[in-house]
Amino acid sequence: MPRKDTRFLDEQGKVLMLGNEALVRGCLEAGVSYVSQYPGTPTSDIGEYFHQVLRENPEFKEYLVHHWAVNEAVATSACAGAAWTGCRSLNPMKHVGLNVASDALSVIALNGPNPGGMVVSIGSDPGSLGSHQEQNERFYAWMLHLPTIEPHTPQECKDWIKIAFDLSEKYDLVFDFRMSTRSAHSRGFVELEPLKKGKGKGEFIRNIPKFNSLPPHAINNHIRLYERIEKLRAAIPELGLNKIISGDNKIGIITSGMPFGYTMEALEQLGLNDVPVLKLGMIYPLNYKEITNFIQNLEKVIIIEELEPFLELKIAEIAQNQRINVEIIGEKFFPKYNEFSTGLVATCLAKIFNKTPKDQMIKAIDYFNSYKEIIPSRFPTFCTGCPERATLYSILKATNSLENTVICGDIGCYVMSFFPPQECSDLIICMSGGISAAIGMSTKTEQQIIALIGDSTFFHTGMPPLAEAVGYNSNVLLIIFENSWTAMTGHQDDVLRFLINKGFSIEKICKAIGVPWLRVEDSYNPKKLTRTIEEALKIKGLKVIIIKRECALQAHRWRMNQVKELEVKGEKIKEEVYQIYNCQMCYECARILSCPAIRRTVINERETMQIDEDRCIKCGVCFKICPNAAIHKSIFNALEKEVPFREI
Amino acid sequence: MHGLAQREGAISSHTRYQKEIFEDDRKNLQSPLICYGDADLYICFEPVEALRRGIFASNKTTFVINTRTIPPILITADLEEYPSLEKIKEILKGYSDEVFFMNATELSLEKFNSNQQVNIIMLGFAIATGKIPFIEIEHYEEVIKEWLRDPDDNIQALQIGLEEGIKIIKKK
Repeated sequence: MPRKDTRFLDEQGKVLMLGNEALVRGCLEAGVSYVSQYPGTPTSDIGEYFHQVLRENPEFKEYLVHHWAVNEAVATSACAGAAWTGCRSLNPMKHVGLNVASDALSVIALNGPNPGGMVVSIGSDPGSLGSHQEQNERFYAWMLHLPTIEPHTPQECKDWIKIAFDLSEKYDLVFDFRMSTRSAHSRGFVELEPLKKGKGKGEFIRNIPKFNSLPPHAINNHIRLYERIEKLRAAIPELGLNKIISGDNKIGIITSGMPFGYTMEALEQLGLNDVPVLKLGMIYPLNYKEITNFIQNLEKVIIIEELEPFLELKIAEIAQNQRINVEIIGEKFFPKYNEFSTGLVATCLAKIFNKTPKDQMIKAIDYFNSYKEIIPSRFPTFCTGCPERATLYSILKATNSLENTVICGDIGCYVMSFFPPQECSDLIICMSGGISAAIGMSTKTEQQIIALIGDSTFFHTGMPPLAEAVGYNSNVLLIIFENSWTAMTGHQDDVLRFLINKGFSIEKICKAIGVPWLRVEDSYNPKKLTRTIEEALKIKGLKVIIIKRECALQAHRWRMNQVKELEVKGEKIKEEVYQIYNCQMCYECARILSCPAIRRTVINERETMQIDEDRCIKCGVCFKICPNAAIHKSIFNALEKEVPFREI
Repeated sequence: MHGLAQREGAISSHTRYQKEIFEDDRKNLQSPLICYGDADLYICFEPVEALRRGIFASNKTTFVINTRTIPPILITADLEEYPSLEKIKEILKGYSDEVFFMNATELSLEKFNSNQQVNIIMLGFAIATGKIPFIEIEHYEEVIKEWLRDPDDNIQALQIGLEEGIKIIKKK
């Protein structure tokens, strides 16, 4: 057996941790006792580590509760509820999750988390590395008055989240602990400190003005919020979060988080070792004196930050208010989109300082640009055997490749429906935006409208628009992928799993809401599903088809484990192998189903499709759809035990 | 490390380390990402991916590459073209002479009847280049024994990668 991971349990030591792991460790050292979140990249694994700690060490259950919430708004209010009994609560979410949570958060920030403390850990995503967009969620900090701490190394993730909780409690403010995809998923060494038990039990003490932000208390709480922020602002220089790397150059730099790392290495690359750098650990609020002291003797200040100017605006405001004659530049030289890198920062700084980057870097960029056109694109796609891919196949067949049809996509694995070659999604908005858009669209067009939604998204925010669609009997076909997992974020043991384990059914909900036309289908029977979709599209009004088939990744894992267990017991297993002979190269499997376990190759000077046996999970869909019967199924050990995919 | 959290997408991860930490912040590694042209070693699990992330390479870079291709969907659909291994090699040679190929997937399937050991075989191949400083072969074995499932298979895979790797590199 591999060694047990004790990094969350040891009282001391130096260990290698991801930023997110270090954040969790920091919470355990800070005595956090309630965590609630909806999974979303790059914050999903935060919950997984808490879950792991609780699963492997039941003694933590005395004082630590981790909840997978049904959506971000529920998670945020749940965290406030726990904090208001005097506990410390952590509320991780991805940047767009904050849009869902902001309704709740705007009030909670006004009320304040006291008597407990509350930190919202937001995973930003410059470069849109794991999100549908790269919104600059820092502006929420201004709007809702969320003091924001931004770490750079895993050590800072651990140490500073503790500071965030201390300050949240001390100043009665909800803190934003701003991670990014890069800081969350970079590893580094972390010095551990002793763990601290959180509050197992608390008590809610009635305080009507504080917890009821309606007139007249709303205005008073707003005034009180300003007082709390100003107290914190005054204390910033003593917190040790901001630091100066000194230098004599008359041009200085202010930066924070991951761009600090790129900046330091870019300066080294350009031989600019005398440029002073102010690294901000707290990016909102700013201490006027601290900023003034840094900029007042400089001729020029460069603000290096990813996405829209946020620090730049505030620092320019401070310079103007303090009447400091200094030029402040940033967005003029740096892009306001995409993730930064050392190379990019070096290129931009080279222009400002009139320097040349290292030859090695320039050559690398030029040479890469000379051949990059020949690199074939590699889109992410559905896994081999994915029931969602098979569903898209049936949609394409039933609609004659989307003739007179609009597909309203949504967030989940099926967000990838728009990628070629299937290109089976016309629009994406946000969680449950597809069915919602379909309601409006269906009042204005005679085109056939199909909306897609997954089971986790259905629970997140999908039920309200479905109820509305029932109410107006919208002329929409809604396809619900019931794969029984929150698959895209990594199969968390979340609310969906609990509900499924309790015998909960989407079919029953649809019936209870009053869906007038409902079918349950299996996309591994593509021909039957195609006929059902054709039938549905002929009917006016709301139609729902539930695709009931487990996520192929989990189904395959489960089946392989079953097989392994039986083989250990000495049992023989019935095996299926799919092979292609006499391929007519019609591309049905490659362009319309587009299974990645199928490759195009040349055998005996003849072009043919071929199935990669080590990648095929034996879902059998290609076998069922091949129009030329060129895909063959061979069965070995026919009379032995069969292990089919499990029912969900 | 990052890849869009989905199958078949292109994923890359950077590893950087220094032996001692300096007082002066300007002398330490500060970014988890490698600068363009600054990579010493590429471990490529798929040939065309070496090209996709090539911007971090220069004349000091050594490439070790698994020859097994994973054709993107559009290649199978015949809507785009996958360059030949010869072409990929020729382009990479434009960076550096040290470009080495090994069919690690085939080796893994042959020896272990599974593609699960490809990663460790490729690690052995990478070690064979001598481009990973400060870490001895015993260290890898120690970590494999402590942390991985099927440690015997994995240590064997490491040895296979190392031995085959040395042969391939010597041939040049």
